[in-house]
Amino acid sequence: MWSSMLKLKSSFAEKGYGIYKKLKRILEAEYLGEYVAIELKSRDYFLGKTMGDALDKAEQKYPKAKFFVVKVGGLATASFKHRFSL
Amino acid sequence: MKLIGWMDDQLSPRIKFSIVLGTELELVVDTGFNGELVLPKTYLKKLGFRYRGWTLVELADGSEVPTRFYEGTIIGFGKKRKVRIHKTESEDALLGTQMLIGYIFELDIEANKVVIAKKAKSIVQKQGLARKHEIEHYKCAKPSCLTSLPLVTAQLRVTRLHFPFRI
Repeated sequence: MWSSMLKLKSSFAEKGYGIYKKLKRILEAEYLGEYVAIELKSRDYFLGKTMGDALDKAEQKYPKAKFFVVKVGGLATASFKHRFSL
Repeated sequence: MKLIGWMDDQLSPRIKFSIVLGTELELVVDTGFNGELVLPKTYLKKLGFRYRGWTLVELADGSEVPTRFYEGTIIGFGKKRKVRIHKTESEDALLGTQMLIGYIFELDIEANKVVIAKKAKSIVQKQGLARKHEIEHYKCAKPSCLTSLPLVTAQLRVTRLHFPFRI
């Protein structure tokens, strides 16, 4: 379900998720529940206790880049309990 | 610092919130959203927030969908803070619960009143200090039996065992 949705919406997110899948084992073993910001070109990743922390670290090294951010293990960085679409 | 809002005709709590100097936005306070802000794309462009990438969000049916996020500095509750903003196709701008940390959120539907007020620091500090003081006091009373116990357990144990002897 997941990957088909990503294909429809964004190749950026699809690529980001692909990198996350490769890192998943290492990340989930040590950083479950933390946030990871992935820079797609370099495949470099940055971890933080919050989405903001991970992004601040990532932006220090790549100030102009765009990032794919997920929560390690849970993936979604925010939840909308009252909404069926954004 | 106190913001007074109202209930709209669909019973959603709304407030007016200063995001950038001179720009006030009407936001729905959405307690089902645990992030910071959601803004319609017209506002994102107008206010000059930077597109920073993609993330995943969970919706009410449990699905996880990819969405763009933006970043910017806002003046929220009178002070500057950096926030992550999700884009929406809807016209509603949302304020999430992460923005309410340190605040008290009150709804009075009958009175059509919504209040977001800063939590008084002195009360929080007093409670914190009182609790710390209480634990330290009990530790002093019988330190030898507490050394290997976590503080909360220690407090319970001392309350039961030593309090009667002190009277």
